Amino acid sequence: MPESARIRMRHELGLDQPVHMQYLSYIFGLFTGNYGTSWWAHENVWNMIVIYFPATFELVVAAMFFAIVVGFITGVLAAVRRDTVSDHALRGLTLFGISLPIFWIALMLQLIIAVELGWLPVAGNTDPLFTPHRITGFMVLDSILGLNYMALIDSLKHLIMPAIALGLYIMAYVSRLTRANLVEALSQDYIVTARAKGLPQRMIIYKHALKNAIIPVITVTIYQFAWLMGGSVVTEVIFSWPGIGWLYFQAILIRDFPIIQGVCGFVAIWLGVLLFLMDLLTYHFDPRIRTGW
Amino acid sequence: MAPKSTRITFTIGLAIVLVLIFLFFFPQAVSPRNPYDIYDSPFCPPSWKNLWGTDTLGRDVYARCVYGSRYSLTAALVALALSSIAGVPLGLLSGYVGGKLDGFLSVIMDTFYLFPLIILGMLVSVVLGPTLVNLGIAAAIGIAPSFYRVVRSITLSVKTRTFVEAEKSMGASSSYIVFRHIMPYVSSSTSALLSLSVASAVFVVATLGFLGIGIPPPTPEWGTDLGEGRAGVATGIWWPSTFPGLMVFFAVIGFNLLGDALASIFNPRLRRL
Repeated sequence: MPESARIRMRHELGLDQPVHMQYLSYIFGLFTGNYGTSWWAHENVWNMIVIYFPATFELVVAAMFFAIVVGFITGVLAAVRRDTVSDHALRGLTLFGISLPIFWIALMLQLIIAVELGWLPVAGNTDPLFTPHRITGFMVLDSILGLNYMALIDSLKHLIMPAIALGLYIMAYVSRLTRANLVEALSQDYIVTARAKGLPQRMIIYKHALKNAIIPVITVTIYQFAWLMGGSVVTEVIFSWPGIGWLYFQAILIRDFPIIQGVCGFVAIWLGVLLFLMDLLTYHFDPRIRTGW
Repeated sequence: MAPKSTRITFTIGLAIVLVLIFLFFFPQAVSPRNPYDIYDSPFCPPSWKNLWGTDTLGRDVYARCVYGSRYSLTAALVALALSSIAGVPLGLLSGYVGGKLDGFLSVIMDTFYLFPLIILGMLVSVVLGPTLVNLGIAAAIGIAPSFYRVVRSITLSVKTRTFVEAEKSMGASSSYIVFRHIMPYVSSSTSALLSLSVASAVFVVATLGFLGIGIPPPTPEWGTDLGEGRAGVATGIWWPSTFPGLMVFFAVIGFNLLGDALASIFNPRLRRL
């Protein structure tokens, strides 16, 4: 390699600067949207992240929705019917949900539902025949915005299995947490007072116990959102879902460090946003925190 | 005396963990076959001849699952050791000294606690290389903050008790207070965390193996075998992936049950749940 080319490459890659300057300029770049250029795709890393992120976000939101709705309902049921057969059955199921490895569950779902039964598509987030016109990047949203009924059904069909595989762990976690918190809330003195006043059981649960039980669940749910980013790597690899988890995995395999660093930096910033959101929500739901300000 | 459900959970969890330990030390007793040798043609389905079938090369899946416990559990134990070595002293220091050091360490530990473990683990594995110890390090980076947090909160709560104040006024040194009073609480509370951390570590190591960046073949590791067998799933060849996955599940549920039971035993407040 001619010396002039080598000097030029060094200057282009910023390697002729002192190490701390290189680091600082990279960090500065993270905040101004300059994530560098991929060695493999020769594309701007930020552009690549923007292209792949909506698919991940869609998956994570769907998984979270499944986890919170099903987890919360089962948790409340288990708490209300404490120590009955249904309670023990639900607790056993949630223990399974927490212990089943995500890659195994995804693979089994793929095998049983897609391959053996053929009810849902095996992989991908869209069928080439029904891909909606890209407006936001979210398949479901784009289908709705484009008033494309076939695309909506198709994208929902593709979304179901990955969302369940990804959300199962969180669902089990939310279920156990809701049950624990509701049981604790129901044993408080003010509940005894409410019962003594003659309030119906349903009103006791919904108006009093649930409100207090829900606060730690919200906090934990935001933390679990962060976990979902990691879980989505595995889910996206198994279902060939074109999100940043999949992108990260490909970059790891070929050691494309600009993408690896870019995704890690992006996830870190994303976590910062989530934490801020969590603080806001906790402040809103728990009046006790306000008095401390 | 712990309630009946806790005793059942403890017994089942302990039984599973003991089975895993037995597999760790005496795999030959459970599997006469070798995990590296080829015994039949590839992709033979489970039968009396090949108990859990054969994998992509014709090796016995059952033997690989049994011997695989060694590597998965070793990596998990390395992760555990590193996590406690890093997390416990830092937690003690942070809780006892407090102030700016506490603030600084808390921020760092919270960052690693929140950052998705799998993404972090993949990064560490790629940078350091796919050996057993490095996988342990990858898992430990995510698990150490849990130890830090627990130890720190125990230290904070014990530090402010009246008897500690009294001892200080009598001239007790800091190290005396830490070792004589704080450590007993720490050791009883971290037993649950140890068990749950092994479950986490086994899961992370298996995930990294599944993604292909764990211990390189031909070493039998549950996650790696599962990843290798994945290609066959679409064509209905389910056994090379299903059985290693069941082993991971078995290990994780065992340690989770044990950890839950220990948490309930040592922290009676949790028992009402």
